[in-house]
Amino acid sequence: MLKVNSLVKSFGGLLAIDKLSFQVETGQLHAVIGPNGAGKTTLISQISGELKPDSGTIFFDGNDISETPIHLRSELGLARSFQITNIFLEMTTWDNVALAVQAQTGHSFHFWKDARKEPNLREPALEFLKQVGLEERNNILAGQLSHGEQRQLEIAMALATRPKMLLLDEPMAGMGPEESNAMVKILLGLKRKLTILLIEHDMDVVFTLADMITVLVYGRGIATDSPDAIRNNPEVQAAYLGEEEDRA
Amino acid sequence: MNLSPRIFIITVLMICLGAVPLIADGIDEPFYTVLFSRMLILSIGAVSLNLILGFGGMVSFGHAVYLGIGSYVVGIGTFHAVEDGVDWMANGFIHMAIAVAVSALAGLIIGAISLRTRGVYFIMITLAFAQMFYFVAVGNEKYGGDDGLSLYMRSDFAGLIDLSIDNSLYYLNFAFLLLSLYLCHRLTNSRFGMTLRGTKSNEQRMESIGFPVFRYRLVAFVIAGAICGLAGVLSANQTDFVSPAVMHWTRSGDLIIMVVLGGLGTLFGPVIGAVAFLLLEEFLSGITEYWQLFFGPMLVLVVIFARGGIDGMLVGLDRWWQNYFLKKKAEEN
Amino acid sequence: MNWILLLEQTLNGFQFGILLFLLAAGLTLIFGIMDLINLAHGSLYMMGAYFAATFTEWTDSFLLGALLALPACMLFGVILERIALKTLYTRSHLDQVLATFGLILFFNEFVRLIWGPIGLDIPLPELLSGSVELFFGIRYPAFRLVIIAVGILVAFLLYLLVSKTRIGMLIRAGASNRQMVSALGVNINLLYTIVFGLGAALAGLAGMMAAPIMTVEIGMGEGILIITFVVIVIGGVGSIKGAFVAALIVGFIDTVGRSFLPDILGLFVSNDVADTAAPAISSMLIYILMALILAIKPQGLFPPKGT
Repeated sequence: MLKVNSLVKSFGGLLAIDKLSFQVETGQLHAVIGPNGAGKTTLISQISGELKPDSGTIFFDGNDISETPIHLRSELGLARSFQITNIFLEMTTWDNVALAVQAQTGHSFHFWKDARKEPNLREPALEFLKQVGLEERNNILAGQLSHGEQRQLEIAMALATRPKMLLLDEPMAGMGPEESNAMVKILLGLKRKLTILLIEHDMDVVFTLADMITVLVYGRGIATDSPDAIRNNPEVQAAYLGEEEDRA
Repeated sequence: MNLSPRIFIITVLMICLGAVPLIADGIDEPFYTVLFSRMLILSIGAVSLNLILGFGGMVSFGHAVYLGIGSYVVGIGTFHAVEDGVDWMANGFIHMAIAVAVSALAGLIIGAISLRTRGVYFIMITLAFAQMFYFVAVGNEKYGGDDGLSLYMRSDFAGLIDLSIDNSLYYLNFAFLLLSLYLCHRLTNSRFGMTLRGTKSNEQRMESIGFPVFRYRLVAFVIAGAICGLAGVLSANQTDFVSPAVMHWTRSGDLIIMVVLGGLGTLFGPVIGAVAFLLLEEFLSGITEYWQLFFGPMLVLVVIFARGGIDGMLVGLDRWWQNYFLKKKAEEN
Repeated sequence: MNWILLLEQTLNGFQFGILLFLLAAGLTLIFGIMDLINLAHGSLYMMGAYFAATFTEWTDSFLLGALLALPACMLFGVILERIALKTLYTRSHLDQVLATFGLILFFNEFVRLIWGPIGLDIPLPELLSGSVELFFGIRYPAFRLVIIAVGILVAFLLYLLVSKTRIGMLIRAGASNRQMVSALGVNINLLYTIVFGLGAALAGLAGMMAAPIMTVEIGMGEGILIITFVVIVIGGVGSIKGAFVAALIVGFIDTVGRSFLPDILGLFVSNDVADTAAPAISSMLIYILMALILAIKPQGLFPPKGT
């Protein structure tokens, strides 16, 4: 589904991504882990199109999307959630998702009909809210949701663009244990329904959810393998897991 | 208790606006009809600006350009109708059609260039282009240049409505204000409107869920320009005079003030703002010659302290009213 | 074509460009570093002219008057920043536009109250009021040459300040990355005040130098402010070098365009048409230039680094 080929990105003199290559198979939940500053967000921003790679290619669903603008990548079926909550704070939860549904239903040069009364926008939107457990909160302004709920809304909006693949940038960041558990449940519900690239530093979550794991250290991919193999990979242990266990 | 003070006040305001000529004739002060007629026209301009500024988040500092374009269409048209006897050039329908078309075209050009930029660039570029149109009008000696052009007749609506009667013009203005409000209401709640609000709220997110933001902004920019061009046609008829001053950059500033003073991104905010602005101007200049000495700092204070504008205060009033009734109910029980 | 006139107009364009640069240098830093859109910058230019007029009257010497007016402008700018503008840094651009628009109204009215509604004329000192022979017998007003000389000197001093001093380093850093400067533990408020005071002094300097050749009047800073915006957009926000290059280009095109466009147009269309169309078209030239440059380089000729 997604193929990243010797991707390079540097900021000033600093190499953020260094000749990174990996593949994500259709239907899998693929996680990217790595210590802070490993270049995880830089990677996801290049896949979604916010950043341009210095060199290397990104193939999505058979197309070379390395130069494709953001909104067209979205049309191709790539959806992203952001690490910093990125929603329409002044709109209601329902309107947020309805807008994402609207993006999928052709152009929006409809000037007359009340968009809030169009069942083919409102009903699917409510359906997506249900999938992330927010249907009760549909009339609340997004800015007034709790942090965890805002992250759930993010996912609902990403789903509403009916993607083939979901890019999730630390969906559990800043959440308490309860909120985290709820999010893991949501992600388990989504698994197999679509391909997911998950960036996360919570090891427990990654090993519960992922089919495949890529380990990123200082911009280099040091291993891509199944969770079990990653767990037993000495290089990974040295670079990353070891330090976690030391702390514990 | 379902009565909202805000809706009540806005309704009363609109009814009062509708009754102004009757009242002015009643107390034999036709001056008020002219004053409020100006308010209606500037309200239309402010409603159109609010579309891009309030709903779209585009700080355009050149909106008076379209007032100028509309005005000059009438000025130039009636000039040739009177001087050269070209009858069709006095026709009001043609004035409106041309004003809308030229304003939309100007909006398309200005928008296509300026909307590629953001923030301070956008503000400066829209201001600069407006200044360009201003200087074109100043440099155009044939149509009066700096001194402007007096209208020897008003737009001719072929016997349908006689604009030489001030009250008729007033009701034409009023009708167009209602029309532009209705249009704005439909537009901002349509799919297009939701898209526009989205781009204001979070441009990056709009791109990432698949909206080509530039296109939607540009179309909004063009629509706002076209509506304001209509206001320009009305304005020339109102003042019987056209000069570059209609599109002076301070006029664009005034329009922004009206929108913000009334309430950014609300349907009736611009109308409230325009009425408040002109009443304030009328009131302060009646007290002192140096009224801007007070008006300027007042503006600064409004910016710093009253963020939602007057409409925002009305919303606050609603909330207080609701709480008051809830408390009363609780006491009764 | 009249070559002497061309030379004269080129010098006039250069002199106008210098004035634009003095206004643009401060303003582009204020945009770049504080992210503040300050419409009242033109008011500082106006205040410079009025201060110079008053001090010249008191001291009977334009030179002394200007020397007094310069610190007065800087002080005025610092007070303005501390009282009013400081609160606007964190606000939206729309708020900034409105508040500084309000300040313009206030200052215009304030000047009308103090100095009266009629414009003032500043007499030039004898020494500068004549003209100087350049070469081939071409004579040029001495005072305009002084403006050019002062402008070049200021540009050079600014270059030294920005490239060689610690404050200059902070200014450069601030113009390309605001967060970084505050992360360095610099007293950011002080830096802002210094930059604003500097900008105010430069704007005031432009105003007082323009005063003897134009009339000192209310609202004199507004037209030139908008042209300054064009300069900044062309040069790139935050770049003093960009402001300098763009100011000279704009000054030259505007001045020379106005005097030669009728002739140039006359080559293509009839003289009648050329004479009617030229004033309108020549006033459009700099805006067309701006549009062209934006089409090619949306961030201006010298875009800030790191964006």
